[in-house]
Amino acid sequence: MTITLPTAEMRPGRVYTIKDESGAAASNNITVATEGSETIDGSATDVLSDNYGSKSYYSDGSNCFEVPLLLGAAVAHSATTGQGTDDHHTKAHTAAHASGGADAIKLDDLTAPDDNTDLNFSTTKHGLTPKGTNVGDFLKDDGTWATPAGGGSGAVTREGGDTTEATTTSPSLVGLLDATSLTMAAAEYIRVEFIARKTTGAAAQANFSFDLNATAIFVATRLTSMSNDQIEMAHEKLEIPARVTSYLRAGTFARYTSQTTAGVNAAEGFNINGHANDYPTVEITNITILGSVGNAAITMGADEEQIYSWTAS
Amino acid sequence: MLYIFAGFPGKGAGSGTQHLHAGGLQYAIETVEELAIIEHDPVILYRKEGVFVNDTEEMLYPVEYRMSDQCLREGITWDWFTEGWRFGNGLSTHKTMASPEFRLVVHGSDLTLDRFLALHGPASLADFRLFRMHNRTESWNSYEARWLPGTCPQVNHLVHLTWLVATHMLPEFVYERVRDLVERGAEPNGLRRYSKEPGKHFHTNRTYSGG
Repeated sequence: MTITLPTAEMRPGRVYTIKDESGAAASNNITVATEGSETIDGSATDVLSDNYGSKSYYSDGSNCFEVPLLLGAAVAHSATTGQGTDDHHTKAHTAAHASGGADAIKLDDLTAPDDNTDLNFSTTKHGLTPKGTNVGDFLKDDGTWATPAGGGSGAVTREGGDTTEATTTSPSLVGLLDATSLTMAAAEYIRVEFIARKTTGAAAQANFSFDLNATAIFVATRLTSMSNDQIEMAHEKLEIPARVTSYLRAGTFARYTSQTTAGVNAAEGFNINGHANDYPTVEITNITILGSVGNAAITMGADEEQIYSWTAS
Repeated sequence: MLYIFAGFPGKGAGSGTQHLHAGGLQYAIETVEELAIIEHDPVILYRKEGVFVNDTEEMLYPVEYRMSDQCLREGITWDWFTEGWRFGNGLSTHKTMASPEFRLVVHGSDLTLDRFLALHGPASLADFRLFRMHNRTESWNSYEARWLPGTCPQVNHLVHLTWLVATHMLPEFVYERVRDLVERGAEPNGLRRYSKEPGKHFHTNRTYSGG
């Protein structure tokens, strides 16, 4: 609603008070207006938007002005009897700052700590986490940092992988899974695992091969049975030895097991095929799994390629 | 004739949904919609360098290829494929992932903090600004080199491709229909003609769970 003040020319000095008696000014603002081009503190209108709020106005004969609120004089902290400027009030205030208190302080709003360890947790008390070491250690339950068992030389590291199924109907080998951005030096041993499947369509097998840095290492070798026209799933593991001069045509240890959906052991074996090429001695950065089918009427899929490495020394 | 499309059928669809895999797409093209005859000759091998007699080095003829416009929009051109890339024949869906690695270095150098301190001796930590930079392995460099300028992804990036090798050049409407199926998520025609056998023509989308 709008209330218009009487023209300022009428009664210079007279005070008018507007009060929200209904207590609804927050949702139904009261606009205070003036007559003609007169202003209130320089503006055309003023607004009351606090429930049960009130404002008073006076005129100087030309325009209206809000009457300033009269408050008690502020008392300086230092003016309190017996209190110095930096002295603390003696009033107990623990309850106010504690959880649920009137002036509760959030733990994460406190100033950052320095290097004081007094509040660190231990086997006898709760506390803060000790300062980190950034060397890959873990925090033990006695409050100290410790190196994981089995860490360091000889530990197996997951290097990367490729985990979305890729499929083919190609009777010639074709790239399916491709693990990239690997960093495996010549002295590292490498393990590659993946899973594969084939559909029905013909009594034919699914085959696989692999490339190291785009160098074909294997020739195709069978991954699943060819005796029946059936669904089969296979788990393939490859172990690639350290790639050291004069030992570069060493056989890759490859083992597969394949099962039908009925859980019948369809095929298992070791790879005994010769390699097509020597192992490259450069850092291995890319391992591609290739697949092909024995008959275009079946589909081969491969998934969950995972690459691990370890160094003996 | 090699045709390359961007994406898998069903790429980007929700987890648990069923989509054609390579075998299903082949069935759609050859049998249900009778769009083309796909090359299945086991001695024919399409590679980046040409069409070969299987694994021998005897090249039959240069490779003829066609790539979907969507490939170009995603930064994949013929140069993106590495030397020796095998397309095989038949129909394939392929996926690769680039994962740039990072390391924390002292800003303005390529030295880690440990290495910097080893070279320059003690210094106040307040004087250092650390910077997270790409750890460019040989693989990442070669991957990056395969992208068009300005389109190289600087974050983990999946590349999905589908390609088919047909015996002859296909008319434009065939190309358009396969693009619909692979790139635009069109529903295959004649759904009742596909096998009910699990995994025979369709596979189930999974949610990528990291790695």
